[in-house]
Amino acid sequence: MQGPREPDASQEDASEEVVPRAVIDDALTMVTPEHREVIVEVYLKGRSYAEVSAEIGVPTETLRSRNFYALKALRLAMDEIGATS
Amino acid sequence: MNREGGSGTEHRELRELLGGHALEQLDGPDTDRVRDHLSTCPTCPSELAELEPVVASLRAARPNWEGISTPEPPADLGERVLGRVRAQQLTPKRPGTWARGALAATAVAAALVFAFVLGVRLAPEPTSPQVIPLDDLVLASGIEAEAGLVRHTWGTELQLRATGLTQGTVYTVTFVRDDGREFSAGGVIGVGQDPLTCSVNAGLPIEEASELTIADPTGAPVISADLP
Repeated sequence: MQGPREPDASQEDASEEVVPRAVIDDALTMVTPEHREVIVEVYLKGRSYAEVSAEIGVPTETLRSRNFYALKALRLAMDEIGATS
Repeated sequence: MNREGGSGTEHRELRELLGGHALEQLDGPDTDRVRDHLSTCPTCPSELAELEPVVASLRAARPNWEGISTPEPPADLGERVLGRVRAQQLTPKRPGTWARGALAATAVAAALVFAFVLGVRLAPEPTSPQVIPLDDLVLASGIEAEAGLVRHTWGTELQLRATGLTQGTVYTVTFVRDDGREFSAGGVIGVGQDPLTCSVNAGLPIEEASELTIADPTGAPVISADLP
């Protein structure tokens, strides 16, 4: 496990569906605080799992599985907002 | 090897790595493990695909991330509120307790109006839920019904409109998960030939729901459907 890497430009897909920033903000407010925390801290702020784990006292293994369920919850939230088809 | 490509524990671990994989957070060995798993697992590729719109949107938000944005009130709003209060203030003929009380009451009223207006402005726009119609309802004799499902983050909502449910009889509403476990969505009371319109909820994600059953007190289904 390592910290977040910078996105690989070669893997960017112009066809990917990107919703407005406000939708992401809304979706983040609709998920649990734990799910919001792992997405914000480990991905959006680019902090390492180890750093966040030490700060909040949650094992890194738990954080990375929580990361998966957080993304699924965000997908449901975006569906509920109507941001995905 | 099970149908999901690997032992149950191994599959669960690799499935939960899909988040890190989608966000390009895994190291080389874990990336290779996930890729190998994706090449054989019948379910994980579709789960990964479901995450793609989320990942793309997060990726776009990341470079300028400064926290969840909330609209800020205008910087001069406080002074504008006070200005309105001052403008409405009448010069008291007899300065005293009454005048000070009136001024304070005016300020409180203005603050309440401001808070209400700000609350309305900050409230999210209501969105209409997307109802997934259930086209293949199995109905007992004498019952007519239309039904649809709504996906929620907290579970699944059933919207039902039916006639012919016996007046005063309590019917139970149950969702069945893929593995056979039942999730109650409560009950409804029949109103005879009058239209019954209701909405009930179950704490089961819509993706995991495979069957819906509305049964009479003997347990006999009167409305049922296999879910998409």
